[in-house]
Amino acid sequence: MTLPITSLPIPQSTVKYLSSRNIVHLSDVLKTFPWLDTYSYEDVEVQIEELNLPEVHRNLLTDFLINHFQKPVFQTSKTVKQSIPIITFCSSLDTLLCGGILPNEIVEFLGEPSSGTSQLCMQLAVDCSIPQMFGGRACKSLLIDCNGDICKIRLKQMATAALGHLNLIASNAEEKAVSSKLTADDLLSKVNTARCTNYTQLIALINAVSNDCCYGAIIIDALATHFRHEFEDMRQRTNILAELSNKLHKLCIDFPVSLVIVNQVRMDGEGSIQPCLGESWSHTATRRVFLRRVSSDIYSATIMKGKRSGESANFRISSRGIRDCPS
Amino acid sequence: MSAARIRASVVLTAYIKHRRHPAWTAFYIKQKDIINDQFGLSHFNWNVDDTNYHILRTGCYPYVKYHCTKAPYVNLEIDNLFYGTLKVVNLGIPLVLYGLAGLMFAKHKEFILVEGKMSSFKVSKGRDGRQVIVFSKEDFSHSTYKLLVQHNLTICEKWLVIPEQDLIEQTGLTLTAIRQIQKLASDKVCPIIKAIKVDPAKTFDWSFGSRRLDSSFQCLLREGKVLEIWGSSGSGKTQVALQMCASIPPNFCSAYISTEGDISTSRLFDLCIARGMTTANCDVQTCNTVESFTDCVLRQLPLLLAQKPVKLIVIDSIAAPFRAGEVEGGGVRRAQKIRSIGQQLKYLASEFKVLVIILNQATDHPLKGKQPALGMTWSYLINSRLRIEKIENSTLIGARRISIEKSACIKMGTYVDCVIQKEGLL
Repeated sequence: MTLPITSLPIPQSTVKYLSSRNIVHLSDVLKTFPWLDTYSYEDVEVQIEELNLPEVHRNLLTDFLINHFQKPVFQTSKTVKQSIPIITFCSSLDTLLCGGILPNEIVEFLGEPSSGTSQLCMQLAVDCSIPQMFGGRACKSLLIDCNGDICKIRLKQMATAALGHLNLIASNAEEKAVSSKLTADDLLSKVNTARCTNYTQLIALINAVSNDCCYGAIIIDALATHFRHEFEDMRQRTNILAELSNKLHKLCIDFPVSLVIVNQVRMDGEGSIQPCLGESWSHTATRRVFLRRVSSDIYSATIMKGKRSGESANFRISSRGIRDCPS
Repeated sequence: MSAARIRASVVLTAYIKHRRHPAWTAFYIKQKDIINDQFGLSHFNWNVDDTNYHILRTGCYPYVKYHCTKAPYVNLEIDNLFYGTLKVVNLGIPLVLYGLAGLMFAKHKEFILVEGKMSSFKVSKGRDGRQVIVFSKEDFSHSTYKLLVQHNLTICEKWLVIPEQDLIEQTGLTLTAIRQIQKLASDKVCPIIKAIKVDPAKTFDWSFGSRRLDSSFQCLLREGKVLEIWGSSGSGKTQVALQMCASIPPNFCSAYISTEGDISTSRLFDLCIARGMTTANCDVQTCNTVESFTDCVLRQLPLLLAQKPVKLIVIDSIAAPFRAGEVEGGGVRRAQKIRSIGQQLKYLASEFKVLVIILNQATDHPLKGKQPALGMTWSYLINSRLRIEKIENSTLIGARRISIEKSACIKMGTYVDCVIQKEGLL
């Protein structure tokens, strides 16, 4: 900033003009034109016109100022905001997911039939509505049901269990007062569901939500369901999926929403298990978690993509919801 | 809307084409709008793009009603004569009344481009498999609507699927206009978002026909769900399905699709008599091949559901047609067929608020032992799964164990023991 302006690659006439106005160092420029920091290209032009300079100088000065002082469009990465993740109520799974599912990210869960994906979806939806003082997000959630697997009775069970847990961990008087007033229906009132019976409904729903998203989490239970049949032309499917992927990304950028997607798996020719929807879809999610049923009520989750890739953790699905394995 | 008169036969062909060859459809057209070139024909075959339709044509002043059903070619001359005579005998009076009724019932108008001319119809609300959501005339200015009709883009779904660039090229509209129509289409197609409410008052109660099973597994029986029951042969799958049909209240009915030969109606009646009932409202259909089964589920079932208060659909063995018959195109094609049937059943279940019970056979897996047939493809398409098996080393004859293998609300592995008796599984 202490550079003399004579060392800059600008024409001699402009330097002369600037010197005549006592601008010798680069730092002087900012003093003379204090609006430089805050204005965009068009604004700078307008401001300079107001200075009533001869036209030659005006153009040169504009170029000079723009080239040297305009801020780049790219933004330096912001410090990580203090945003609250959605927790799963299972410490091993939360550790695996690095604290839970954050806003503005897309997490994909996949697994064989009855590998606990729907249960996890319902648990996450209930956990969204936990008050902030207990470490929850206290936000609305939208559970998109493509499979018809969402069970109201189960959601109620989970909400009641979650409430019991809150009563247990309430330590001070204020927390106790809140938790004793809360009912399971209060928690459930923030959970919304929509049943999609074909893929156009799903696309329409995402379109409608993108206009004004009031949800903290959108959970799509088995997005793959509707994309695994109905399509004769695979190129059309790829196009539609790419479009949908873009829409989901945009939704994540525009609103502080966590997206959870459930995918299915298929057997390939050699009998090994592969995610559905093809290679291009696999770039959609920022994290990908594979779920598997180990024994009657023990399940395991393995990170396939993203932080802590390759690591796995066990969890249990009990009548109360997703919980830790008894050690 | 005044239009030049068009031949009735042209309209008929254009209409069926426009509806993309539905299984069933009907429409009214004003007599003065068409040139009647099908005089004297009441019931006849009509070929559109190699698909044969049975047309039932009735003049009901001031309209002509066309009723079209997709069906193979049959000689209909005698039928035609019969209907013709009937009309003469009745002096056509019922037909005038029918015309007036048509005026009241027909819900919406449709415009179809026939040989470059516009013509207006009244379309009665027909159900051809899935209902298609279309833009109505009120949604747009007249010129825009005409443009959409011209490019055959009145169906909302198309606006969500076709890429923007293609739409611009096709219609010549601006990007903003296209975005607006897309938004409108989204709003129309978008399913309703509901807040969760667990209300104790239920609309309908299904029953397994056994108090013990009901008390343990009641939460499996919900509208919009697909429940699979599997077991090896002779384990009593059909028994459970039949007694569920028998316990449907008299003012509702059930549909039973059998793929493993004729269902023994006598067995159903025996069951009913043993339970002190006189009749069972059960519609029965038998299919033997993959084709007839697919046709039954995709085409006939929606028609039945639209006409009768069906509350329960039973499919006696989904596996039989797929295991026996060769599907054209091999394994991939087979998996696709299974998926489309599974999705259709789920769609019907949630659309018509019915419960679907599907019986499945068992298959021997070299490593895992007995497994339900049809593999992973099928397992994704059901909501819950029950296993029924014989209890070994039991002193009771006909002792069975029913256990949960997949469910959203009951712990896996929960089981109930029952005995098969004259009244069924108790």
